[in-house]
Amino acid sequence: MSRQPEAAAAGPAGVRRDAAPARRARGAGGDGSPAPSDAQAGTQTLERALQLLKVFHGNPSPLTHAELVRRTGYSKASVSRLVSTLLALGYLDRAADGVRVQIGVRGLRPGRQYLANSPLPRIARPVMQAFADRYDMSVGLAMADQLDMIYVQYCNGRTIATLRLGVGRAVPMALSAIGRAYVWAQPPEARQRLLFGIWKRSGAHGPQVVAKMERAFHDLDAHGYCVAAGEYQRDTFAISVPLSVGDPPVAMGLNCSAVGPLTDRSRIRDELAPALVKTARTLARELEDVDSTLF
Amino acid sequence: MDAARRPVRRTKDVRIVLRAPNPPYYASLQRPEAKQPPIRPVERGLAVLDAFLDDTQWLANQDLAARTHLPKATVSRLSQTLASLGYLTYCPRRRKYRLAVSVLSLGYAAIADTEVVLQARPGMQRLADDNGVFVALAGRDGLDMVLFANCHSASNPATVGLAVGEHMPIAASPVGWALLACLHQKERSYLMDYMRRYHPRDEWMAIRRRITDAQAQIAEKRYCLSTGDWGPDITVAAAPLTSRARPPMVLLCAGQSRTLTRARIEQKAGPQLLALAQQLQDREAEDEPAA
Repeated sequence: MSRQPEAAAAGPAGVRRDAAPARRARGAGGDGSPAPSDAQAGTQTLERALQLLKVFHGNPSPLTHAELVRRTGYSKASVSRLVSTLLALGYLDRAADGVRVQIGVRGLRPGRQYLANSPLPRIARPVMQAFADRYDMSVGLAMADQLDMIYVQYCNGRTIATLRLGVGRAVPMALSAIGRAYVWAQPPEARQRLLFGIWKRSGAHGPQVVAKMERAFHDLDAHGYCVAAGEYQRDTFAISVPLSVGDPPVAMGLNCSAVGPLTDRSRIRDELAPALVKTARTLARELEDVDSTLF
Repeated sequence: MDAARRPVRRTKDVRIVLRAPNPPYYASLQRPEAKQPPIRPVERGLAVLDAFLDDTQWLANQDLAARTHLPKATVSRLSQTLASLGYLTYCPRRRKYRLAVSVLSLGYAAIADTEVVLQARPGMQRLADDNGVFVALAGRDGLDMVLFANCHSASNPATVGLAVGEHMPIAASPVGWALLACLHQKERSYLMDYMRRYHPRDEWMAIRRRITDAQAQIAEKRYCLSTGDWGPDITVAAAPLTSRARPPMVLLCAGQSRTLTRARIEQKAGPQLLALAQQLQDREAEDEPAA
């Protein structure tokens, strides 16, 4: 628990320890009463295993061990131990080539259960779908998950231009309009903490990544929305606004996006962005009295 | 200690690469003690999340301890960690936990929103409405089949009460048999070797007969059919859906035997099921070189 505040900021990538603590934990724990330090090591191992699943971003394509090492920043030995555990538990699966690993089917059920229990996607859907139909764009509602934004609702327009996104997909906060809008809306200390985490995670690219975010913040300061084109996904553009919904309010991001070149600025400024802001307001109103511990 | 963790049974002579089957439901029947144990804190942490999978939304630490059979101190540490990471929400008023948004990062989208599922859904719904049947898409999880997507018929209020993510043993129904039928022979015998251990000899002989029979049906008409394996009067028709780009799946439809009669399947539902499977496979084959 003492680690909780920095967990969000530093991210597990900042923590450099080998699989050794996990081994120690199992060695010492007779049954269930490990020494406090072992308990902490165990907690950390769990956190790393969960982080390893996160680096897939909900994407079904397989990754190599080397890629996992790169994305997590853990040691090779650590990654292969975590992978073998997650394979055995079914959260990961071997790809057809037998070498790479991909997301396994075990994670489907908890996600499904969460979505079935939460009133948020259900209430948000008609409002978002109306926008999607009217402008023939995809509309996404995302919540923060450490340094990612994770979609809890996603509605497509009539002509399905396959944006490879959907409910449960995650996008990095730093690289997406929806993430930047969310970070912008945070109180100063929280915003600083997130930026620090993002800087750290981006390694050498830190300064550029954060500079881009700050440009988006200027747009948000000036107009209340931000735009990203071709950054996280090529050939797409997205407009995002922050919003906070429920009781007590929870900060989220709302975006609309489409495949193709960026439509001209005036259409975004005069038509799409105001409509998106209005949709955000409608969502906030519809969810005003909904207990946000249920989200 | 490290030596003890090394796997006892080597599967490297099986050419097709598989992950070790670790089905949740069989696991409770027989604990494979000798196998390489998963990292315990990880196993336990995920077990705590699993405890939320039935109808109860809110669970207190003592409920979690009862469901996971873990000591209460361990459980409260795990639930606190999971809450701080965003996988659980704690409500101080109720003094209980529930699943939170980060559980979506365990891989929901990778399974539920894959291209094939998205493309299949409209066709599945049409099939369901046309025939008044339950239609689903399933894949393998260890020795179980798990539903990736389902469609209930708008025209028939009586339907099969299976939800997305629900598991059933491969051995138990035509859904699993259809999957076995489309696998490479080595992979099939590998899986069946594992399955056999969970069944008494007589029962296993019966299951094997059913599997062979289903295989023959699929060889003949590309889908298999059975009544009574899902419930006393439920008929299930299942067709394999293979692609080089992903693990094999099964497309199935099910309904009450009274409405989904054999004749009806042969004349209408069966051909439609096959047409949909074919259409999906063709589209995947088209997409493949591009992807």
